[in-house]
Amino acid sequence: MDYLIDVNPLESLAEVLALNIAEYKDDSRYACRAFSAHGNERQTVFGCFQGRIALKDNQEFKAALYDLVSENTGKVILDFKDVHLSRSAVGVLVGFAASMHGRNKRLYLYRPSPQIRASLLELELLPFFRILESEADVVAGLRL
Amino acid sequence: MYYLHHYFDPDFRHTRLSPVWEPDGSISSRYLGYVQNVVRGQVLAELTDLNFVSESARDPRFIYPERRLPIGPNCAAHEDNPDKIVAAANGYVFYNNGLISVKKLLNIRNDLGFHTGNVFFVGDVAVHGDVQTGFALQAANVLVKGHIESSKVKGVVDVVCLKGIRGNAALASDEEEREEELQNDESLIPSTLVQAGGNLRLPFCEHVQLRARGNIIIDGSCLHSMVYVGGNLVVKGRLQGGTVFANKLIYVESRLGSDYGVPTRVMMGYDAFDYLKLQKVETRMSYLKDRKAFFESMSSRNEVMEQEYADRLKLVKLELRALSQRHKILWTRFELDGKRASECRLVVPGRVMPGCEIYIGAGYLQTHDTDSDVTFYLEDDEVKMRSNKKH
Repeated sequence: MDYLIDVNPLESLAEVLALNIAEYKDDSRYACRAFSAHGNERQTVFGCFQGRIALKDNQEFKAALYDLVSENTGKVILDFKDVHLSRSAVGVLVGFAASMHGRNKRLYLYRPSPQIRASLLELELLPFFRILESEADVVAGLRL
Repeated sequence: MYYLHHYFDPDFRHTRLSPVWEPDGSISSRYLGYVQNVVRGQVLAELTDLNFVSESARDPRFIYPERRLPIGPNCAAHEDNPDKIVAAANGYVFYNNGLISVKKLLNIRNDLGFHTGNVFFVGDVAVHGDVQTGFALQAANVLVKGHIESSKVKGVVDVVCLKGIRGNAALASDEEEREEELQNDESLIPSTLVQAGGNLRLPFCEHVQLRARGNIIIDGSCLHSMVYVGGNLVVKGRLQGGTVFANKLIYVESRLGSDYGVPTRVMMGYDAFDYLKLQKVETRMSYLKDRKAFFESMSSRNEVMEQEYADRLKLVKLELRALSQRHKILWTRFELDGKRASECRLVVPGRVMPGCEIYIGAGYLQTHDTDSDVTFYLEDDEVKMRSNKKH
Protein backbone atom coordinates (compact mmCIF):
# COMPACT_ATOMS: atom_id res chain seq x y z
CA MET A 1 0.00 0.00 0.00
CA ASP A 2 1.43 3.34 -0.96
CA TYR A 3 -0.66 5.77 0.98
CA LEU A 4 0.58 7.47 4.11
CA ILE A 5 -1.40 9.16 6.81
CA ASP A 6 0.36 12.44 7.25
CA VAL A 7 -1.93 15.43 7.44
CA ASN A 8 -0.74 18.81 6.41
CA PRO A 9 -3.01 21.72 7.32
CA LEU A 10 -2.87 24.59 4.89
CA GLU A 11 -4.02 28.03 5.77
CA SER A 12 -5.77 29.05 2.66
CA LEU A 13 -8.24 27.08 0.61
CA ALA A 14 -7.40 29.09 -2.46
CA GLU A 15 -3.80 27.96 -2.11
CA VAL A 16 -4.87 24.35 -2.03
CA LEU A 17 -7.04 24.67 -5.06
CA ALA A 18 -4.35 26.55 -6.91
CA LEU A 19 -2.02 23.62 -6.29
CA ASN A 20 -4.23 21.49 -8.49
CA ILE A 21 -5.37 18.33 -6.83
CA ALA A 22 -3.75 16.09 -9.45
CA GLU A 23 -0.40 17.69 -8.81
CA TYR A 24 -0.04 16.91 -5.15
CA LYS A 25 -1.42 13.46 -5.54
CA ASP A 26 1.84 12.53 -7.21
CA ASP A 27 3.63 13.47 -4.03
CA SER A 28 4.00 10.08 -2.38
CA ARG A 29 4.78 11.68 0.97
CA TYR A 30 1.18 12.61 1.56
CA ALA A 31 -1.92 10.59 1.38
CA CYS A 32 -4.17 13.26 2.75
CA ARG A 33 -4.05 16.94 3.41
CA ALA A 34 -6.38 18.96 5.55
CA PHE A 35 -7.29 22.54 5.00
CA SER A 36 -9.74 24.89 6.58
CA ALA A 37 -11.77 27.62 5.02
CA HIS A 38 -11.59 31.09 6.52
CA GLY A 39 -14.62 32.48 8.23
CA ASN A 40 -16.13 29.17 9.21
CA GLU A 41 -15.67 27.37 12.49
CA ARG A 42 -16.39 24.10 10.78
CA GLN A 43 -13.41 22.80 8.92
CA THR A 44 -13.49 21.03 5.59
CA VAL A 45 -10.90 18.30 5.37
CA PHE A 46 -9.65 16.88 2.12
CA GLY A 47 -8.22 13.37 2.28
CA CYS A 48 -6.33 12.03 -0.69
CA PHE A 49 -5.68 8.29 -0.88
CA GLN A 50 -3.79 6.14 -3.30
CA GLY A 51 -3.21 2.48 -3.94
CA ARG A 52 -4.80 -0.86 -3.28
CA ILE A 53 -6.36 -1.18 0.15
CA ALA A 54 -6.81 -4.80 1.13
CA LEU A 55 -7.84 -6.67 4.27
CA LYS A 56 -4.37 -6.46 5.82
CA ASP A 57 -4.44 -2.67 5.50
CA ASN A 58 -7.81 -2.25 7.15
CA GLN A 59 -6.55 -1.05 10.53
CA GLU A 60 -4.25 1.48 8.92
CA PHE A 61 -6.97 2.63 6.52
CA LYS A 62 -9.43 3.03 9.37
CA ALA A 63 -6.91 5.02 11.40
CA ALA A 64 -6.17 7.22 8.37
CA LEU A 65 -9.85 7.99 7.91
CA TYR A 66 -10.48 8.80 11.56
CA ASP A 67 -7.31 10.89 11.71
CA LEU A 68 -8.95 13.27 9.26
CA VAL A 69 -11.73 14.10 11.69
CA SER A 70 -11.45 16.47 14.59
CA GLU A 71 -14.00 18.27 16.71
CA ASN A 72 -14.12 21.20 14.30
CA THR A 73 -14.45 19.13 11.17
CA GLY A 74 -17.73 19.71 9.41
CA LYS A 75 -17.06 17.94 6.18
CA VAL A 76 -14.66 15.34 4.87
CA ILE A 77 -13.95 14.96 1.17
CA LEU A 78 -12.15 11.77 0.18
CA ASP A 79 -10.29 11.68 -3.09
CA PHE A 80 -10.46 8.07 -4.26
CA LYS A 81 -9.54 8.51 -7.90
CA ASP A 82 -6.58 6.14 -7.80
CA VAL A 83 -7.76 3.74 -5.16
CA HIS A 84 -8.76 0.10 -5.29
CA LEU A 85 -10.87 -0.93 -2.29
CA SER A 86 -11.37 -4.54 -1.29
CA ARG A 87 -14.77 -5.51 0.08
CA SER A 88 -13.39 -5.32 3.60
CA ALA A 89 -12.11 -1.82 2.93
CA VAL A 90 -15.58 -0.89 1.64
CA GLY A 91 -16.84 -2.18 4.99
CA VAL A 92 -14.42 0.16 6.77
CA LEU A 93 -15.60 3.04 4.59
CA VAL A 94 -19.23 2.25 5.46
CA GLY A 95 -18.31 2.22 9.16
CA PHE A 96 -16.67 5.62 8.73
CA ALA A 97 -19.74 6.92 6.88
CA ALA A 98 -21.91 5.70 9.77
CA SER A 99 -19.69 7.52 12.24
CA MET A 100 -19.82 10.72 10.19
CA HIS A 101 -23.59 10.48 9.84
CA GLY A 102 -23.95 9.81 13.53
CA ARG A 103 -22.02 12.94 14.42
CA ASN A 104 -23.82 15.18 11.91
CA LYS A 105 -20.76 15.59 9.74
CA ARG A 106 -20.77 15.25 5.99
CA LEU A 107 -18.79 12.79 3.93
CA TYR A 108 -18.17 13.17 0.20
CA LEU A 109 -16.35 10.96 -2.26
CA TYR A 110 -14.47 12.97 -4.83
CA ARG A 111 -14.11 11.25 -8.21
CA PRO A 112 -14.15 7.66 -6.93
CA SER A 113 -12.35 5.19 -9.20
CA PRO A 114 -14.41 3.01 -11.58
CA GLN A 115 -13.64 0.01 -9.36
CA ILE A 116 -15.08 1.75 -6.29
CA ARG A 117 -18.11 2.92 -8.22
CA ALA A 118 -18.71 -0.60 -9.53
CA SER A 119 -18.29 -2.05 -6.03
CA LEU A 120 -20.69 0.41 -4.46
CA LEU A 121 -23.18 -0.08 -7.27
CA GLU A 122 -23.06 -3.85 -6.99
CA LEU A 123 -23.53 -3.62 -3.23
CA GLU A 124 -26.39 -1.14 -3.71
CA LEU A 125 -24.51 1.35 -1.58
CA LEU A 126 -23.96 4.13 -4.10
CA PRO A 127 -27.00 6.15 -2.95
CA PHE A 128 -25.61 6.19 0.58
CA PHE A 129 -22.68 8.33 -0.55
CA ARG A 130 -22.52 11.84 -1.93
CA ILE A 131 -20.29 11.98 -4.95
CA LEU A 132 -18.43 15.06 -6.18
CA GLU A 133 -17.48 14.82 -9.84
CA SER A 134 -15.46 17.97 -10.44
CA GLU A 135 -13.27 20.52 -8.76
CA ALA A 136 -16.09 23.05 -9.24
CA ASP A 137 -18.34 20.78 -7.17
CA VAL A 138 -15.72 20.77 -4.42
CA VAL A 139 -15.51 24.54 -4.38
CA ALA A 140 -19.27 24.92 -4.50
CA GLY A 141 -19.62 22.50 -1.62
CA LEU A 142 -17.19 24.34 0.64
CA ARG A 143 -18.64 26.63 3.25
CA LEU A 144 -16.84 29.78 4.12
CA MET B 1 -5.39 -26.05 17.70
CA TYR B 2 -6.90 -23.10 15.90
CA TYR B 3 -7.78 -19.54 16.79
CA LEU B 4 -10.63 -17.51 15.31
CA HIS B 5 -9.55 -13.93 14.69
CA HIS B 6 -12.45 -11.48 14.39
CA TYR B 7 -12.66 -8.42 12.19
CA PHE B 8 -15.66 -7.15 14.15
CA ASP B 9 -16.40 -6.82 17.86
CA PRO B 10 -17.77 -10.21 18.93
CA ASP B 11 -18.84 -8.80 22.31
CA PHE B 12 -20.91 -5.98 20.85
CA ARG B 13 -24.33 -5.65 22.47
CA HIS B 14 -26.77 -2.97 21.35
CA THR B 15 -28.26 -2.98 24.85
CA ARG B 16 -24.97 -1.90 26.41
CA LEU B 17 -24.15 1.21 24.49
CA SER B 18 -22.34 4.28 25.64
CA PRO B 19 -21.23 7.35 23.75
CA VAL B 20 -18.28 6.49 21.55
CA TRP B 21 -14.88 8.03 22.15
CA GLU B 22 -13.45 9.15 18.87
CA PRO B 23 -9.74 8.95 18.03
CA ASP B 24 -9.49 12.73 18.37
CA GLY B 25 -10.69 12.48 21.97
CA SER B 26 -14.12 13.92 21.36
CA ILE B 27 -17.35 12.26 22.34
CA SER B 28 -20.78 12.48 20.78
CA SER B 29 -23.96 11.72 22.66
CA ARG B 30 -25.89 11.33 19.42
CA TYR B 31 -23.63 8.65 18.01
CA LEU B 32 -23.51 5.45 20.00
CA GLY B 33 -22.52 2.99 17.28
CA TYR B 34 -25.87 1.19 17.55
CA VAL B 35 -25.10 -1.24 14.77
CA GLN B 36 -22.06 -2.97 13.26
CA ASN B 37 -22.58 -2.58 9.52
CA VAL B 38 -21.04 -5.13 7.17
CA VAL B 39 -21.20 -5.41 3.40
CA ARG B 40 -21.49 -8.42 1.14
CA GLY B 41 -18.07 -10.01 0.65
CA GLN B 42 -16.51 -8.40 3.72
CA VAL B 43 -14.27 -10.72 5.73
CA LEU B 44 -15.73 -11.15 9.22
CA ALA B 45 -13.38 -13.68 10.81
CA GLU B 46 -10.42 -15.83 9.96
CA LEU B 47 -9.23 -19.14 11.39
CA THR B 48 -5.48 -19.23 12.03
CA ASP B 49 -3.06 -21.65 13.63
CA LEU B 50 -3.00 -21.00 17.38
CA ASN B 51 0.80 -20.94 17.35
CA PHE B 52 0.74 -17.79 15.24
CA VAL B 53 -1.26 -15.92 17.89
CA SER B 54 0.59 -14.44 20.84
CA GLU B 55 -0.57 -15.68 24.23
CA SER B 56 -1.64 -12.23 25.34
CA ALA B 57 -3.92 -11.89 22.32
CA ARG B 58 -5.70 -15.21 22.85
CA ASP B 59 -9.30 -15.29 24.03
CA PRO B 60 -10.11 -18.81 25.28
CA ARG B 61 -13.63 -18.59 23.84
CA PHE B 62 -12.26 -18.55 20.32
CA ILE B 63 -9.77 -21.40 20.54
CA TYR B 64 -10.97 -24.38 18.53
CA PRO B 65 -9.54 -27.89 18.77
CA GLU B 66 -10.49 -28.62 15.16
CA ARG B 67 -10.78 -26.70 11.92
CA ARG B 68 -14.39 -25.55 12.20
CA LEU B 69 -15.97 -22.29 11.15
CA PRO B 70 -19.00 -20.94 13.07
CA ILE B 71 -20.91 -19.95 9.94
CA GLY B 72 -24.45 -18.71 10.55
CA PRO B 73 -27.18 -17.23 8.34
CA ASN B 74 -26.09 -14.83 5.58
CA CYS B 75 -22.46 -15.81 6.03
CA ALA B 76 -20.28 -18.08 3.92
CA ALA B 77 -16.76 -19.42 3.65
CA HIS B 78 -14.49 -17.33 1.43
CA GLU B 79 -14.26 -18.73 -2.12
CA ASP B 80 -10.47 -18.63 -2.30
CA ASN B 81 -9.64 -19.11 1.36
CA PRO B 82 -11.93 -21.55 3.21
CA ASP B 83 -10.52 -20.40 6.57
CA LYS B 84 -12.23 -17.02 6.22
CA ILE B 85 -15.85 -16.20 6.91
CA VAL B 86 -17.39 -13.53 4.70
CA ALA B 87 -20.74 -11.76 4.83
CA ALA B 88 -23.15 -12.94 2.13
CA ALA B 89 -25.39 -9.89 2.43
CA ASN B 90 -25.36 -6.28 3.55
CA GLY B 91 -26.53 -5.99 7.12
CA TYR B 92 -25.30 -6.16 10.68
CA VAL B 93 -23.10 -8.84 12.18
CA PHE B 94 -23.59 -10.52 15.54
CA TYR B 95 -23.17 -13.84 17.31
CA ASN B 96 -26.33 -15.91 17.43
CA ASN B 97 -26.19 -19.26 19.25
CA GLY B 98 -22.45 -19.42 18.79
CA LEU B 99 -22.62 -18.73 15.05
CA ILE B 100 -21.53 -15.59 13.25
CA SER B 101 -24.68 -14.24 11.61
CA VAL B 102 -25.61 -11.30 9.43
CA LYS B 103 -29.10 -9.88 9.56
CA LYS B 104 -30.47 -7.70 6.79
CA LEU B 105 -33.33 -6.13 8.76
CA LEU B 106 -32.60 -4.00 11.78
CA ASN B 107 -35.45 -3.84 14.27
CA ILE B 108 -35.30 -0.95 16.68
CA ARG B 109 -37.78 -2.17 19.26
CA ASN B 110 -38.33 1.18 20.91
CA ASP B 111 -37.94 4.82 19.92
CA LEU B 112 -34.97 6.01 17.95
CA GLY B 113 -33.53 8.51 20.38
CA PHE B 114 -30.91 8.90 23.08
CA HIS B 115 -30.67 5.18 23.77
CA THR B 116 -29.87 4.39 20.13
CA GLY B 117 -28.24 7.56 18.85
CA ASN B 118 -28.33 8.38 15.15
CA VAL B 119 -28.52 5.26 13.02
CA PHE B 120 -26.92 4.60 9.64
CA PHE B 121 -27.63 1.13 8.34
CA VAL B 122 -26.91 -0.47 4.97
CA GLY B 123 -29.98 -2.74 5.13
CA ASP B 124 -33.62 -2.15 6.00
CA VAL B 125 -34.76 -0.63 9.29
CA ALA B 126 -38.02 -0.99 11.19
CA VAL B 127 -38.46 1.47 14.05
CA HIS B 128 -41.19 0.17 16.34
CA GLY B 129 -41.53 3.47 18.19
CA ASP B 130 -41.03 7.10 17.22
CA VAL B 131 -38.06 8.86 15.67
CA GLN B 132 -37.41 11.48 18.30
CA THR B 133 -36.57 15.13 17.79
CA GLY B 134 -33.04 15.91 16.71
CA PHE B 135 -32.07 12.41 15.59
CA ALA B 136 -31.22 11.07 12.17
CA LEU B 137 -31.80 7.76 10.46
CA GLN B 138 -30.50 6.58 7.11
CA ALA B 139 -31.08 3.12 5.68
CA ALA B 140 -32.22 1.29 2.53
CA ASN B 141 -35.93 0.84 3.27
CA VAL B 142 -37.35 2.53 6.34
CA LEU B 143 -40.50 1.66 8.24
CA VAL B 144 -41.44 3.83 11.21
CA LYS B 145 -44.36 2.44 13.17
CA GLY B 146 -44.69 5.49 15.38
CA HIS B 147 -44.38 9.20 14.65
CA ILE B 148 -41.50 11.01 13.08
CA GLU B 149 -40.79 14.11 15.12
CA SER B 150 -38.51 16.95 14.12
CA SER B 151 -35.70 14.78 12.77
CA LYS B 152 -34.11 13.54 9.56
CA VAL B 153 -35.13 10.24 8.03
CA LYS B 154 -33.62 9.13 4.74
CA GLY B 155 -34.42 5.95 2.88
CA VAL B 156 -32.36 5.03 -0.14
CA VAL B 157 -35.39 3.10 -1.40
CA ASP B 158 -38.81 3.53 0.23
CA VAL B 159 -39.97 5.17 3.44
CA VAL B 160 -43.22 4.35 5.21
CA CYS B 161 -44.43 6.03 8.37
CA LEU B 162 -47.54 4.62 10.02
CA LYS B 163 -48.49 7.41 12.44
CA GLY B 164 -47.48 10.64 10.77
CA ILE B 165 -44.87 13.32 10.74
CA ARG B 166 -44.98 16.52 12.68
CA GLY B 167 -42.05 18.87 12.48
CA ASN B 168 -41.56 22.14 14.26
CA ALA B 169 -39.83 25.43 13.72
CA ALA B 170 -36.58 24.25 15.32
CA LEU B 171 -33.50 24.82 13.26
CA ALA B 172 -31.80 21.93 11.54
CA SER B 173 -29.18 20.02 13.49
CA ASP B 174 -27.12 19.99 10.32
CA GLU B 175 -24.74 22.93 10.33
CA GLU B 176 -24.98 23.47 6.62
CA GLU B 177 -28.74 23.55 6.40
CA ARG B 178 -28.94 25.67 9.51
CA GLU B 179 -26.65 28.12 7.77
CA GLU B 180 -28.88 28.08 4.70
CA GLU B 181 -31.97 28.71 6.77
CA LEU B 182 -30.38 31.60 8.58
CA GLN B 183 -29.26 33.05 5.30
CA ASN B 184 -32.66 33.00 3.72
CA ASP B 185 -35.54 33.83 5.98
CA GLU B 186 -37.91 33.96 3.03
CA SER B 187 -37.50 30.30 2.15
CA LEU B 188 -38.30 28.99 5.63
CA ILE B 189 -37.60 25.42 4.64
CA PRO B 190 -38.70 23.14 7.48
CA SER B 191 -35.81 21.50 9.29
CA THR B 192 -37.63 18.18 9.52
CA LEU B 193 -36.67 16.14 6.50
CA VAL B 194 -38.04 12.86 5.23
CA GLN B 195 -36.44 11.68 2.03
CA ALA B 196 -36.94 8.59 -0.10
CA GLY B 197 -35.07 7.40 -3.17
CA GLY B 198 -38.26 5.58 -4.16
CA ASN B 199 -41.74 6.02 -2.76
CA LEU B 200 -42.96 7.63 0.42
CA ARG B 201 -46.18 6.87 2.28
CA LEU B 202 -47.50 8.48 5.42
CA PRO B 203 -50.83 9.26 7.10
CA PHE B 204 -50.29 13.01 7.56
CA CYS B 205 -47.57 15.59 7.75
CA GLU B 206 -47.16 19.08 9.09
CA HIS B 207 -44.19 21.50 8.88
CA VAL B 208 -41.97 19.02 7.15
CA GLN B 209 -39.84 18.79 4.06
CA LEU B 210 -40.69 15.71 1.99
CA ARG B 211 -38.51 14.54 -0.87
CA ALA B 212 -39.16 11.48 -2.99
CA ARG B 213 -37.86 10.45 -6.39
CA GLY B 214 -40.88 8.17 -6.80
CA ASN B 215 -44.44 8.77 -5.64
CA ILE B 216 -45.73 10.25 -2.41
CA ILE B 217 -49.00 9.05 -0.96
CA ILE B 218 -50.44 10.92 1.99
CA ASP B 219 -53.50 9.23 3.43
CA GLY B 220 -54.53 12.31 5.39
CA SER B 221 -53.57 15.95 5.11
CA CYS B 222 -50.37 17.70 4.13
CA LEU B 223 -50.08 20.95 6.04
CA HIS B 224 -47.51 23.74 5.67
CA SER B 225 -44.91 21.48 4.13
CA MET B 226 -42.40 21.67 1.30
CA VAL B 227 -42.84 18.69 -0.99
CA TYR B 228 -40.43 17.70 -3.76
CA VAL B 229 -41.70 14.75 -5.74
CA GLY B 230 -40.26 13.10 -8.84
CA GLY B 231 -43.35 10.97 -9.53
CA ASN B 232 -46.96 11.58 -8.58
CA LEU B 233 -48.37 13.07 -5.42
CA VAL B 234 -51.61 11.84 -3.91
CA VAL B 235 -53.09 13.67 -0.93
CA LYS B 236 -56.29 12.09 0.31
CA GLY B 237 -57.00 14.84 2.80
CA ARG B 238 -56.14 18.51 2.52
CA LEU B 239 -53.17 20.11 0.86
CA GLN B 240 -52.97 23.32 2.81
CA GLY B 241 -50.10 25.79 3.07
CA GLY B 242 -46.56 25.19 1.88
CA THR B 243 -45.24 24.50 -1.59
CA VAL B 244 -45.31 21.42 -3.78
CA PHE B 245 -42.81 20.86 -6.58
CA ALA B 246 -43.87 18.12 -8.95
CA ASN B 247 -43.61 17.19 -12.58
CA LYS B 248 -46.38 14.70 -13.25
CA LEU B 249 -49.72 14.34 -11.53
CA ILE B 250 -50.95 15.83 -8.29
CA TYR B 251 -54.22 14.53 -6.93
CA VAL B 252 -55.78 16.31 -3.96
CA GLU B 253 -58.91 14.54 -2.87
CA SER B 254 -60.37 16.70 -0.14
CA ARG B 255 -59.24 20.29 -0.37
CA LEU B 256 -56.56 22.46 -1.94
CA GLY B 257 -55.80 25.64 -0.02
CA SER B 258 -57.04 27.10 3.18
CA ASP B 259 -60.00 29.05 4.56
CA TYR B 260 -57.68 31.62 6.08
CA GLY B 261 -55.67 32.53 3.01
CA VAL B 262 -52.54 30.61 3.99
CA PRO B 263 -50.48 30.66 0.78
CA THR B 264 -50.51 27.29 -0.95
CA ARG B 265 -48.24 26.97 -3.96
CA VAL B 266 -48.05 24.24 -6.55
CA MET B 267 -45.15 24.37 -9.00
CA MET B 268 -45.12 21.93 -11.88
CA GLY B 269 -43.37 21.49 -15.18
CA TYR B 270 -39.80 21.35 -13.95
CA ASP B 271 -37.78 18.64 -12.30
CA ALA B 272 -38.46 19.05 -8.59
CA PHE B 273 -34.91 18.14 -7.62
CA ASP B 274 -33.37 20.58 -10.08
CA TYR B 275 -35.61 23.14 -8.42
CA LEU B 276 -34.23 22.15 -5.04
CA LYS B 277 -30.64 22.43 -6.28
CA LEU B 278 -31.41 25.79 -7.83
CA GLN B 279 -32.95 27.04 -4.59
CA LYS B 280 -29.85 25.99 -2.68
CA VAL B 281 -27.48 27.57 -5.18
CA GLU B 282 -29.43 30.83 -5.26
CA THR B 283 -29.66 30.99 -1.48
CA ARG B 284 -25.95 30.44 -1.21
CA MET B 285 -25.16 32.98 -3.92
CA SER B 286 -27.26 35.61 -2.28
CA TYR B 287 -25.47 34.97 1.03
CA LEU B 288 -22.06 35.12 -0.64
CA LYS B 289 -22.90 38.35 -2.42
CA ASP B 290 -23.71 39.94 0.94
CA ARG B 291 -20.46 38.60 2.37
CA LYS B 292 -18.52 39.90 -0.60
CA ALA B 293 -20.02 43.37 -0.20
CA PHE B 294 -19.18 43.30 3.52
CA PHE B 295 -15.58 42.17 2.94
CA GLU B 296 -15.12 44.81 0.26
CA SER B 297 -16.38 47.56 2.51
CA MET B 298 -14.11 46.40 5.34
CA SER B 299 -11.11 46.12 2.99
CA SER B 300 -11.61 49.64 1.76
CA ARG B 301 -11.10 51.12 5.25
CA ASN B 302 -7.33 50.85 5.46
CA GLU B 303 -4.37 48.65 4.52
CA VAL B 304 -4.51 46.51 7.65
CA MET B 305 -8.13 45.66 7.03
CA GLU B 306 -7.40 45.03 3.40
CA GLN B 307 -4.79 42.45 4.36
CA GLU B 308 -7.09 40.98 6.97
CA TYR B 309 -9.91 40.39 4.51
CA ALA B 310 -7.94 39.66 1.34
CA ASP B 311 -8.04 35.85 1.71
CA ARG B 312 -11.71 35.74 2.58
CA LEU B 313 -12.57 37.95 -0.34
CA LYS B 314 -10.58 35.67 -2.64
CA LEU B 315 -12.42 32.63 -1.37
CA VAL B 316 -15.83 34.25 -1.68
CA LYS B 317 -15.10 35.21 -5.29
CA LEU B 318 -13.87 31.71 -6.02
CA GLU B 319 -17.00 30.11 -4.66
CA LEU B 320 -19.26 32.64 -6.36
CA ARG B 321 -17.64 31.88 -9.69
CA ALA B 322 -18.14 28.14 -9.21
CA LEU B 323 -21.73 28.64 -8.12
CA SER B 324 -22.63 30.86 -11.06
CA GLN B 325 -21.34 28.14 -13.42
CA ARG B 326 -23.53 25.65 -11.62
CA HIS B 327 -26.44 28.03 -11.79
CA LYS B 328 -26.06 28.28 -15.58
CA ILE B 329 -26.01 24.50 -15.99
CA LEU B 330 -29.12 24.14 -13.85
CA TRP B 331 -30.97 26.77 -15.87
CA THR B 332 -30.14 24.94 -19.11
CA ARG B 333 -31.69 21.79 -17.68
CA PHE B 334 -34.69 23.80 -16.58
CA GLU B 335 -35.46 24.91 -20.10
CA LEU B 336 -35.31 21.34 -21.36
CA ASP B 337 -37.68 20.03 -18.67
CA GLY B 338 -40.12 22.84 -19.32
CA LYS B 339 -41.26 21.00 -22.47
CA ARG B 340 -42.89 18.36 -20.31
CA ALA B 341 -45.05 20.93 -18.61
CA SER B 342 -48.00 20.34 -20.94
CA GLU B 343 -48.33 16.80 -19.53
CA CYS B 344 -48.69 17.98 -15.94
CA ARG B 345 -52.06 17.78 -14.25
CA LEU B 346 -53.39 18.98 -10.92
CA VAL B 347 -56.62 17.15 -10.19
CA VAL B 348 -58.81 18.25 -7.29
CA PRO B 349 -62.05 16.31 -6.85
CA GLY B 350 -62.66 18.21 -3.62
CA ARG B 351 -62.70 21.96 -3.08
CA VAL B 352 -60.21 24.52 -4.31
CA MET B 353 -60.01 27.49 -2.00
CA PRO B 354 -59.19 31.07 -3.02
CA GLY B 355 -55.55 32.18 -2.85
CA CYS B 356 -53.88 29.08 -4.27
CA GLU B 357 -51.00 29.82 -6.61
CA ILE B 358 -50.52 27.34 -9.42
CA TYR B 359 -47.50 27.46 -11.68
CA ILE B 360 -47.18 25.04 -14.59
CA GLY B 361 -44.18 25.68 -16.82
CA ALA B 362 -44.32 29.35 -17.77
CA GLY B 363 -47.99 29.66 -16.85
CA TYR B 364 -49.45 30.99 -13.63
CA LEU B 365 -52.90 31.11 -12.12
CA GLN B 366 -54.19 32.29 -8.77
CA THR B 367 -57.55 31.05 -7.61
CA HIS B 368 -60.00 33.74 -6.51
CA ASP B 369 -63.15 31.74 -5.90
CA THR B 370 -64.08 28.47 -4.32
CA ASP B 371 -64.45 25.72 -6.88
CA SER B 372 -64.79 21.99 -6.72
CA ASP B 373 -63.95 18.95 -8.85
CA VAL B 374 -61.56 20.66 -11.23
CA THR B 375 -58.35 19.94 -13.14
CA PHE B 376 -55.58 22.43 -13.77
CA TYR B 377 -53.41 22.03 -16.87
CA LEU B 378 -51.22 24.04 -19.23
CA GLU B 379 -52.44 25.20 -22.60
CA ASP B 380 -50.81 27.87 -24.77
CA ASP B 381 -48.47 28.80 -21.93
CA GLU B 382 -51.40 29.53 -19.65
CA VAL B 383 -52.67 27.57 -16.70
CA LYS B 384 -56.28 26.67 -17.30
CA MET B 385 -58.91 25.17 -15.09
CA ARG B 386 -61.62 22.86 -16.31
CA SER B 387 -64.47 21.27 -14.44
CA ASN B 388 -64.59 17.49 -14.16
CA LYS B 389 -68.31 17.47 -13.50
CA LYS B 390 -70.41 15.71 -16.09
CA HIS B 391 -73.27 17.86 -17.26
